[in-house]
Amino acid sequence: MMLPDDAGGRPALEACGLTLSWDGGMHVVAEGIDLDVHGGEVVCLVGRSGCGKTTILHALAGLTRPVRGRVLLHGEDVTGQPGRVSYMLQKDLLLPNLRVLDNASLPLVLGGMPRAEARQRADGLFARFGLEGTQELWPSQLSGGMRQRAAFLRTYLMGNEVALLDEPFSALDAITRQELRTWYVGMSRELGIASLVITHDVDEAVSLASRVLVLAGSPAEGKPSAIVGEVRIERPGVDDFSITHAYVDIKREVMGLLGAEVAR
Amino acid sequence: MMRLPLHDARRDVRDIVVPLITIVALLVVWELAIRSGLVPNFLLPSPTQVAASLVEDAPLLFDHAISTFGEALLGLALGVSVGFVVAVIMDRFELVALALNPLLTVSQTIPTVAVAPLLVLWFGYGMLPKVLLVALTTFFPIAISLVGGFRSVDPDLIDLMRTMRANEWQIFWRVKLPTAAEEFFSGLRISATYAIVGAVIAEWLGGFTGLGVYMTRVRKSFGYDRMFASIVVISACSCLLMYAVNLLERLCLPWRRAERK
Ligand SMILES: Nc1ncnc2c1ncn2[C@@H]1O[C@H](COP(=O)(O)OP(=O)(O)OP(=O)(O)O)[C@@H](O)[C@H]1O
Ligand SMILES: [Mg+2]
Repeated sequence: MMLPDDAGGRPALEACGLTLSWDGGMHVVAEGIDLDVHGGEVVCLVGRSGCGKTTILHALAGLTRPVRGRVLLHGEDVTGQPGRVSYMLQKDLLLPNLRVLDNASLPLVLGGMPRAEARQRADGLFARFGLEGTQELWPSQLSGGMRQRAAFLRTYLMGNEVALLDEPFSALDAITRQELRTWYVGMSRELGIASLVITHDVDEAVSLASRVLVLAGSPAEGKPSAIVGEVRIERPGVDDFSITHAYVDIKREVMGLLGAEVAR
Repeated sequence: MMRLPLHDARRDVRDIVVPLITIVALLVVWELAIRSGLVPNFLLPSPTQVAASLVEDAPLLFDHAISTFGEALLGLALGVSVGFVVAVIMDRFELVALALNPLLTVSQTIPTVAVAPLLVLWFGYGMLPKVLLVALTTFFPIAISLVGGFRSVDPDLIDLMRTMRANEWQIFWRVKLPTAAEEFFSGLRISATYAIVGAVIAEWLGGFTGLGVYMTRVRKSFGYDRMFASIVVISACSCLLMYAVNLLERLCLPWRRAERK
């Protein structure tokens, strides 16, 4: 049902014992991070602001080297190698000097595809991403939600089997957010993309993921973060999962994991 | 910038008319001050006298202006090129930036007027010392504005480019250069004003053609109306260069126009 295609097989992305720091180990943000994401699966990483979620994604994306530990992509060691997984950063980071269509097709162009062909390829996806009519606008002419959709499309066109998304739905209104979430889960399952999504919205995590990883700690006060719990979500076959008892129980469990650390 | 609730067309007209009225008013006051004897004519020529000598010497002024403009443009091109290369190297190699920074600042405190005679001494009365002086004065604003521009790039943007497998060159071309472009143009605007003035100063110290040469000649013959005429031409040349820079900026940064709306 919600089980990933290759359940039991080798995960698409694995992190083994990552210790992360921005200054070479003087000040550790997160410690002993083990996680895995399978193809077609959406895993959410939740945690309070500043606990190190973005730091973890940066390392998984290969942008920073962990002090300890390895990152594996289908078993291959890709630690510190950027460009192997798609990464949508917390900010939309559209280039102000490129039109929306050129922004979206940038990963293709950087990969060596001729500009016209890349534009055509991206153009075909504009309607599906709710961006129709914005092709020739500058990013500054888009609303926050539209900018995020464009960033989404660009991430999609990076075309990797693993996607890391840092609060991808934050600038969207509630309805669009719900739609885009549903669409994303469907699409990633269909294409077999392994997604690791950061959010600090517990409701979002529970409605999006098949597993929620809870990160807790306060690196700013010298207490490195760690994954304090993992909650599996088996969705019953009901349309509106968010009003079931099962949903409420799961949400309570995640909240508990987040809060337990604070109570100490 | 102040925003007034006017239609674009009306605003355009207003933007031209208001400064025009100021200039005309100033000229009228000046003319009246001379005519009424408030300011003695031997100290200051009237606008009409200046206009008359401007017309009279027009062909001569034009020739001189052409050579000044040429020197300024060549010097500016050289200054921009060197400034660009230095900025790129300083951005690429931190150690070079550390080494060059104080040198750059000190080089800027050396007054143009002090260097100009040396350049004339070394390179003679031809075009070269003028071009070099202009390059020397225009190089600094360009280098500084570009270094600042390169540095202002959001590091997350570079990270994003790396996740898209962009190489150094692609990051430079697609992210750093466009980000720095805005600051580059404000540097270029300053450099453009320095360029004409730099060329004129170099010409004062010796040469065969140029508005600076014309000025030293008419000063010797006490032709103050002609002196003012050359000032008008120098201003016009500077304005023309500024206008060209603005035009170039609009061409190179089309996305900026969308942002202002
Ligand atoms: N680029 C960076 N350079 C140095 N330190 C950083 C950098 N980014 C984050 N940090 C530090 O790492 C710690 C964790 O920050 P991080 O951005 O990973 O938190 P987060 O969980 O993503 O928070 P938020 O939910 O607010 O985005 C913080 O103490 C922060 O100061
Ligand atoms: Mg973050």
